[in-house]
Amino acid sequence: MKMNTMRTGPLQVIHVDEDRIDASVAIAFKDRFRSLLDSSTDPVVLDLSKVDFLDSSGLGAVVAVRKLLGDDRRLDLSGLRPAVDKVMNLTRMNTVFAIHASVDDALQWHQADNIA
Amino acid sequence: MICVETTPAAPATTVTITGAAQVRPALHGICRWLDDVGCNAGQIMRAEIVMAEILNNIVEHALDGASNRIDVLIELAPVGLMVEVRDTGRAMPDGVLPNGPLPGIRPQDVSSWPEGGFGWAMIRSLAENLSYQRIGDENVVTLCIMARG
Repeated sequence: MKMNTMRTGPLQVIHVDEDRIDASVAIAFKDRFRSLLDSSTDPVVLDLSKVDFLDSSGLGAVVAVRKLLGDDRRLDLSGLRPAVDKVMNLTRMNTVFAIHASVDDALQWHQADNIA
Repeated sequence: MICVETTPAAPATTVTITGAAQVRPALHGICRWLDDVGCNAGQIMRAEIVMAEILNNIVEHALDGASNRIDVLIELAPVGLMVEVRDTGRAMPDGVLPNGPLPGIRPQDVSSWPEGGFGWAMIRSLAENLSYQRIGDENVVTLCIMARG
């Protein structure tokens, strides 16, 4: 599973460099996410801007990695493409994840949040 | 003189798969065909979501041996895509499709957030005229994906 991570200001960004998160890669996604997590408690932004398609198993894997972070660390999503956005809306999971248009937007939002 | 009236057949495509590893290529082929026959992007997106959930459900819950297979038939009708999915796996429990209500979410309690149970809710949101029959040793699901969602 091609995923990588970088630090951007107060955020750990985990970028998915695959066009699908589906049943066939759900476990690999969770394992790779876990291995990329740093030891801070900083917010994590999962950047899905390369991901064209997310099925219910892929969504379950995203929820699972959110749980991995526990209550002390938040997970936001960024860069949702149309089918991914549709799945988040249909399942109402868009009501519990903070969703940003891009990593830059996520950064601005978190910096504003920290100042306020 | 005998006059034979013919109706031009609606464009159609068929796909057969036998296991989980073929779901992704099957979806790719279906989407490419839908694009080729001129479906709009929204309809293709809805079709891909529905077909992914239908096929994943079958490979995860119904198929149980090497002799199983799934046959998909999609016809392009003016109103929408007429889909028939037949598989030789186990019958639906109780002989009916799951109602598939969305799993509840308690926003403040992250550990309770659902990791599954979304599939039928999505199918029921995006597909019309959903039906299920057990015919002989086959499950037959039919549905329609409207041209305009």
